[in-house]
Amino acid sequence: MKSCSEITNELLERRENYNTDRKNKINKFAKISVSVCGVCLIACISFGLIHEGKIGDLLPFPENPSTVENTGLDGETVNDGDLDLNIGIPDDVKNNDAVKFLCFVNKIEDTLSAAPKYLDPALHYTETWSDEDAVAYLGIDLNTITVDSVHLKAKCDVLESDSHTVYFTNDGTLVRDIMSFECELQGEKISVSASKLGLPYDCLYTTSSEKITTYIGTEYGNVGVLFYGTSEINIESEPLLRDFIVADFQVNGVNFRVSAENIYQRDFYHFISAIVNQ
Amino acid sequence: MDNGASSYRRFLEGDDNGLTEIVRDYKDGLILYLNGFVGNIYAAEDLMEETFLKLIIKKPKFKEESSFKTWLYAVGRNIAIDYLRRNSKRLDLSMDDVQTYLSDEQDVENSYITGERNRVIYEVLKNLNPDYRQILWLAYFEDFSNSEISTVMRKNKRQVKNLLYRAKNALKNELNKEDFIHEEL
Repeated sequence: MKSCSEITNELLERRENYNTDRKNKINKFAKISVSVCGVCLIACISFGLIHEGKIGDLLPFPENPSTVENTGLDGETVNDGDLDLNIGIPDDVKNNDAVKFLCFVNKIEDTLSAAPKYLDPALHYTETWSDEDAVAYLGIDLNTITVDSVHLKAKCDVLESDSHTVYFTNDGTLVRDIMSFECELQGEKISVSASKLGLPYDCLYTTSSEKITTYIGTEYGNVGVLFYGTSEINIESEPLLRDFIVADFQVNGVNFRVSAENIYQRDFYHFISAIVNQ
Repeated sequence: MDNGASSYRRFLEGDDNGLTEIVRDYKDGLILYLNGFVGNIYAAEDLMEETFLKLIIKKPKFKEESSFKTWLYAVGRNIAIDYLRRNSKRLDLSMDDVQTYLSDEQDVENSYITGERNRVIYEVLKNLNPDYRQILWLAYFEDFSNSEISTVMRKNKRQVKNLLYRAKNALKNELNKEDFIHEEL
């Protein structure tokens, strides 16, 4: 049996331990609370900035890029600064969202996707098509694409397109027809994918991008083209140099995804115009 | 205000000697009272320490609505009830432990219980149920009034009166049995 003094000493010691533990717990709680509050504060500020649009399109794609030349509906050359990408488009078409049928980043709007998906080998067979087969199927020959503008006069040379694999179901229905080409346009390489079944790719994976829908006139009508551009290598450069730019569009029943790196925006635009107007 | 209340007030004001006085004056009675609850002198000793620890950590306010001792025993009783809820099993003791246990129990009994009559009564109390043990302990060894017992045991005065009546009868029966055994010896 413990003596009175032993009990008292033990009680006082336990009180000290209790107080120390309590202080530690309070300190720990305070630290965690400060951290959590900090994270919440940052989240709230970020949410507020995003909500107000201050974060997001940090480098907006110019609505009417002044550095691009355009051949209008009637073939006239439009000089720098005079470009109106919506030239010749009726107001009701301009303002009709349904016209913007091409996909936005990570999103398809009203347009089927031909993006690769798993096809069971037991239920499908493949055929390998040559360039000639592809041209006959698509109805467009990239080798005939020529760019003729003030700044660039060049002909597209298809570099790589050895063969194209297409997929059929066992009953003979074509289910995948994405064909890829690589063109060289006066030293600038441009990738072209085409499909009649839908947009070759339904997503664009970039850390940042800006997009704009514009319309390129043809003698048959207007073709909406959705451009995606990532941040400029040098925003002050003249003309505008893009480190990565993509265009999605549909013309004459063929869906295109065209992309290029380190290219002047105006050259890329003229290449797309040439395909659309072919 | 009794000495306990004065000591507790001094302790709350920062004088640790106040605690020493409270422990010195009340520890044995509290152990034996709590032993009546839990039936184990070791557990009763731990519970006594827990009771005092509650006073020095939580520093509950003594409102002087009863004597300090009544209030202290009520605090101890609550702690003992919590203990019994947590531990339904009794301690398993080895033979060596039992020897020490009996010796320790004897020590605290000898230091607190004076007079042969009281010792016999305390021994007989061990054979009674816990409620009878508690009420008889408070009435005979602590000289608590019915009002104080009702405060400690959280029963109304009528319940205390009835319980005390039944406990006395049970004690008489046990004492008669004790006398009968003595006669046989």
